[in-house]
Amino acid sequence: MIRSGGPVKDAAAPSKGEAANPELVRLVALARTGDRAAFGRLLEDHLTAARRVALAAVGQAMDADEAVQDASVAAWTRLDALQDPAAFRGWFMRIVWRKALDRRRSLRSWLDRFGVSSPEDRPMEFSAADPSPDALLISRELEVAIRQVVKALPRKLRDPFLLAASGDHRYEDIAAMLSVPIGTVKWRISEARRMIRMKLERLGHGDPR
Amino acid sequence: MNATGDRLDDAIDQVAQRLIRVAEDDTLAARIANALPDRSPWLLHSWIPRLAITAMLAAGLSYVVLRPFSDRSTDVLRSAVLSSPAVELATAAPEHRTIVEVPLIVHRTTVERSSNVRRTTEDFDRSLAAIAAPLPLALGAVEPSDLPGQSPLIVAPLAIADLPLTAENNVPR
Repeated sequence: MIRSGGPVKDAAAPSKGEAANPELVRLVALARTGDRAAFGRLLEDHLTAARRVALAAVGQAMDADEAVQDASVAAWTRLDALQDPAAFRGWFMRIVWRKALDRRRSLRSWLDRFGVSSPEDRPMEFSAADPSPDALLISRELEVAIRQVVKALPRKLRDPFLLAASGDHRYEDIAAMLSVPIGTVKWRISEARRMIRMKLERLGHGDPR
Repeated sequence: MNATGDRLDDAIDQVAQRLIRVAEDDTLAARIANALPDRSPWLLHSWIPRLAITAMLAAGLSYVVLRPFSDRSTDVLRSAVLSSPAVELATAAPEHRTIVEVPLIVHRTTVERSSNVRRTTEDFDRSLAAIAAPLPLALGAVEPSDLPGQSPLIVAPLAIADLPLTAENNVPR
């Protein structure tokens, strides 16, 4: 069994699942008329997933929130371009991902210009708060090692791996965000996991086989 | 895959989820919604309507500017001129026309030649009379016996008195 990368939603789930949500369609219709409250409701429903998407790209919570804000403004102004109101979630996530990528590129170029290490080069934020019971089983040393290994992954592997780890998106959603085929997404996630395991084994955390 | 591998995979999944964990912020959506700009119809934000409006304005402007220079507009102007009362009277009653001879006024302007320009001209009036063609030098037949034996041959010198010059140059001052 090859674990392709975390709690990814079932790809066989109905792709038009949002089409059965009349509330979503109603909110989109209201937002198109300029109803800020309706758009705020839409944001509330998708904000956490959007922030995770942005965080997977930029690595810093503050930058991620700013990217989400930029994406929200863009979605607000281009809402009439959305063909199918039921597809708002995927459409909005793609905007968030693009805005986050823009911010990642601009941050890297700006920091490179002044010789400062980018957020990707710094250790990712360590969130020791609210540990789950399962998390207690992981030693701090192993967690630090995994964070470093994940941070060192190539972007092409790290991006789909983290997006899949969020559990918010199906493979086809990730493929749409990254503009690659679904098979490529699956392969990259699997390859990312294989590289992580291989590096952890070299660090002495791997399978003792 | 043994239990150690499963534990490692679980650890990777947990850490990956922590890497993209976000703190709850219940007011973020409201803050973003309140900061949204005024929303105008999407058509105004798209490029196609802008291009269409620009094209219409350009077409209208070019029509207004180029219209007087077209042939059709010239006909319009000509008909407007011909329809004036003065022109109608002149065309309707040609017998009333009076031929007016316009006096010719000639304005002469003396142009002084620049003093810097000096031209050399020949003043034939002040030249001397042409001299007559000189007589050809005729030599008679000379017999060898006519030549002196040992003495040198002496030719009488040719004397030309008061040889006139040709036309002299007259340099205008």
